Amino acid sequence: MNANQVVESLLALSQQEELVDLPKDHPLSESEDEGDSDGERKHQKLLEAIHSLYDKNRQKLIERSEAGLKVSEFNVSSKGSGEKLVLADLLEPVETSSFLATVKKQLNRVKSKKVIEQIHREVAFSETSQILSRWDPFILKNRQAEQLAFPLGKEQPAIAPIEHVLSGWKARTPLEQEIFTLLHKNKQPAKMHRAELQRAWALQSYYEAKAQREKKIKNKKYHKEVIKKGKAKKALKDFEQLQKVNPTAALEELEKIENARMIERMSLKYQSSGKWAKSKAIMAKYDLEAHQAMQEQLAKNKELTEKLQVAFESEEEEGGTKDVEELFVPEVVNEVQKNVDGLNPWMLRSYTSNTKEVATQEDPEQLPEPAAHKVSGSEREERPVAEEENLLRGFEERRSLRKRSELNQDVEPADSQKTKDSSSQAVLSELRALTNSETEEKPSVQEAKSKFRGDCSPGPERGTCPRRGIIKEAFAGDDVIRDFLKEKKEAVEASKPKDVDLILPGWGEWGGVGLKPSAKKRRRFLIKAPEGPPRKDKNLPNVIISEKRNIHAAAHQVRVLPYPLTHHQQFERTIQTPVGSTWNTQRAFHKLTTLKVITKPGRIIKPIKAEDVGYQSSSRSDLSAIQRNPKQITRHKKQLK
Amino acid sequence: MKVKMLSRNPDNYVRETKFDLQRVPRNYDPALHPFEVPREYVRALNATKLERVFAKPFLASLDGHRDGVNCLAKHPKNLATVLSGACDGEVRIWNLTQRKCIRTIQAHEGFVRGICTRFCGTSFFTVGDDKTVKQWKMDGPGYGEEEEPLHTILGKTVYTGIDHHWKEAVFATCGQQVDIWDEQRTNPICSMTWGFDSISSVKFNPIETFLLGSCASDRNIVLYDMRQATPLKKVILDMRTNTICWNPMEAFIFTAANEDYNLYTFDMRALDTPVMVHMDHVSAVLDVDYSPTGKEFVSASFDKSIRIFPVDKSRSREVYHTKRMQHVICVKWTSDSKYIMCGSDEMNIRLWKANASEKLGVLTSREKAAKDYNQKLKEKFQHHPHIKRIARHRHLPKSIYSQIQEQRIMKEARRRKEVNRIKHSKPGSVPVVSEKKKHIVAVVK
Repeated sequence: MNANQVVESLLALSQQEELVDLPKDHPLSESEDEGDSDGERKHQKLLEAIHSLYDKNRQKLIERSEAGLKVSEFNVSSKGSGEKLVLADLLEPVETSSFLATVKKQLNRVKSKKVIEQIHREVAFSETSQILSRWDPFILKNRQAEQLAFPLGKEQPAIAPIEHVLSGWKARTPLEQEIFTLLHKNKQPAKMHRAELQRAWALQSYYEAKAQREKKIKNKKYHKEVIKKGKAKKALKDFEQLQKVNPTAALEELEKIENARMIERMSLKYQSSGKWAKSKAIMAKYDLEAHQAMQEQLAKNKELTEKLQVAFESEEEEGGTKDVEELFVPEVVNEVQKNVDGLNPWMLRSYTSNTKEVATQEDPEQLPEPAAHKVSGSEREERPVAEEENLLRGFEERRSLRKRSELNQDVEPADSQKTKDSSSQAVLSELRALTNSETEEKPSVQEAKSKFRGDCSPGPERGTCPRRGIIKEAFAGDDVIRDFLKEKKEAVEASKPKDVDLILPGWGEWGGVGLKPSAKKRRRFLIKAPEGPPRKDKNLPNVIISEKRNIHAAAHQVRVLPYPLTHHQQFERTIQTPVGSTWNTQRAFHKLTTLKVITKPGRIIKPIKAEDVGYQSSSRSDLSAIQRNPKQITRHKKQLK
Repeated sequence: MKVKMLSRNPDNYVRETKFDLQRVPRNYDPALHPFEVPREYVRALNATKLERVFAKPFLASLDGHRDGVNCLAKHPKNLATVLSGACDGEVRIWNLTQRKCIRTIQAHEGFVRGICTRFCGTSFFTVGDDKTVKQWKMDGPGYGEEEEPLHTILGKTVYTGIDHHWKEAVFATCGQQVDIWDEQRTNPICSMTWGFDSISSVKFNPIETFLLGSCASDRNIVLYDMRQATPLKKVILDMRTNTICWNPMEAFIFTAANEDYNLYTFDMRALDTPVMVHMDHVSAVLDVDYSPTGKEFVSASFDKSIRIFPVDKSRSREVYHTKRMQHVICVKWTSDSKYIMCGSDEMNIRLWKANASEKLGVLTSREKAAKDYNQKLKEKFQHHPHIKRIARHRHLPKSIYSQIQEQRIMKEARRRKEVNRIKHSKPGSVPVVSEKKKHIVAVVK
């Protein structure tokens, strides 16, 4: 009851003062004495109304009259409720009492609770199945996988590598700490010292090796050079020192060195390679003075080096001849080589063949040139077409040849058969009559046919002549009987047991291409097959009975096609591809024999996780999820009570 | 005169280092290696025969319990440790490599109804007939300490099963209702019921860890969602389901071991039709456990045998039994998928190889190649009648054998009757119910 309602009822009370029989609002007021005065009653009612404003709960307090049972879907308690008792209710017949109505209400409430729970469940189920459905692709992939290696995810090795262990180690005892500090504190200077020592050792050994190397050199000039170099170095060093100590002395020294240099420059060493000499050599053609200067220098040179002239001359001569040779030799050599080439029979042959080829290639090119120039674009396309035409013509020729030979062959057996077996001949002719073909070509068959016809139906032959002609025209190409006979003949041949040829060429005699094993050997190693049992269709000329089915083999053969396969060819293919290393390379063998599921001994395989697959597993834990769901818990606690 | 000489390039036959493989020149011309199919067929036949010759699956029997073994549990981190609970309230911890009992605890009065290990492997939980849930340390007590549980929770009703969450400190018990417990509290954080009956087993889903499955004595299997604290769906079968097991590789697949001799593999999203009905046992199936690869499962039965079923086959590929093994109550597949353990009525735990003819120990590469090749050949020629016959042949105890015959006759009679009924009634009036749907009574939303 709302506060508003209470206020309204209060107002109503004040208005209806005269009314004695008020409908009783509250169960508490039932105990009131009716004989009291009006004022007292009014007062009482007011008090009660105010009272009811403040503690409404008392109004709903239920008095228990029997052992209370909890509300569940199976039990319905008959506890009283705060329902108004209306006069009309009391006057009505007993069947629709308020008590039954409350029970009904409660029943409805239980029912609705049940429905709500079911809705809850259905929603939860659809959510869960949605969550589960994201596993579908992964599970499908796993089921179809060629190979699964468990454990699925890459696992960290259980034993940590030694570096990790060492780096993670810490000194604990004082002794350990002391050793640790000793080891790590003095590391730097010790390292440097060691490096220095190493450098010294390296240098020492280097110099030693160098000295030894130099010691071994027997060239005096080299040693002189070395000494000179050493002297020069020393002089330079001395000079530098002198410059620092005594600059005037250093200047003198510098002059000395300059003098020495000039003397050196003036020597004949640089007569033609110097700057001056080079410039003069260039200008000598145009400038007389320069020319003269050069001449002078040359003369001086000759003069000074007279003694050496003999040696120079010889050298020059030699050089000259060499030059001449160099000039001429290549040509001569080339010529000789050409000749040699030409003389070499191998080369010659190839050369000539090449030339021939070239000639042949050139000839046709030259010939069609005038025509080809006009249609140069389409030339290439036309050629293959012509080739194809040629091929086709060849095929046709061959085909016609074959046909002719076949005809000849067919005529012969027909003849022989006629002589052998007249009854079969009759049947044959009957068949032939049905097809009506090539009657004129084969006189023997024609004879038999006519004989046969004469026996049973001589009349209609003439009458059907035009029709026969039409049929003959229609079936001009195919001869069913001959095809059938041929097929049967082939089947008989195929079913005959074959001779076993055990001849190995090359054993006991020479082998090689084009050599055939001797007749003696062939006779010895050719095992003739025994005559098989008579064919079932031996006496049935119009039938071919296949004798392929072997009872003994059938016991080993698969009778029903295995489940996922749909056609027997698929199954045959799986069986016919060999797996073993006898027929496959090593790699293929490994690939073919991989197992579907691989497990490692001693490795724990954990249930698959969402993280392994790359799915996002829900971040919040299941426990926290429950704890955030207090409503549900209280509901269930209530149920438990 | 010219002298002809053989000249060869050493590159073709000399190996570069001694660690290289020797080059063996081979000619793979198929003309030189004829009869591929017959030769491989013979090899496959021999491989199949050898497999049967070497099929010796029984490894060890762990003897020590003084009453029937009622429950088994694996250590999650250690392959060698196994826990077992017996009908006299005793829990034993075994070392499989030594094949010895390393610890014995008198955990409960009456049966040890359920046992499970914590996901980290530091402790384990037991429930017993004395209405208690006890948590124990995995390591034994120190010197001078007494063997005492870490925590004991006294409940109002008997708990019949327990399972631990795969990631968090939560476990679930079953009995009158399914209770979810926080390890830190003595009251369940959530209780779930659907009707009133005794629930015999509860199992957490190892992949989607908030899912639970339970089976009750009124023939139903109920799935729960722990997060929303509500049951999801209920399927009612012909007969009571003893236990269920979730597939560790496929989140929505579980298998139920039923009293009607069959096992039913369900997709939990479509409970009205099981994915597969596995039938071969001749008595009630009491326990089931999946291989960690999720490709096979093992079932223990009241008919004194255990069978291994491929998940996608309705018939078992293997049956294990011994003369002394009685009704098998519990079975577990070890986490490396190589072994199977079963606990039975006559107080023993037996250790079996999961693959009967597998060679134990380290294999050389050639052995491994030969093994793989033989396996492939067996697979390739498995449909050929002779090979099929040899591969399928198993010795069975007379009781099981005769029961199989008997049940075959009964089944045939039932089928015939049904066919006749359909034949002699108005077409369409008698519906044809498939074998899969036959055993499902109803699915309740």
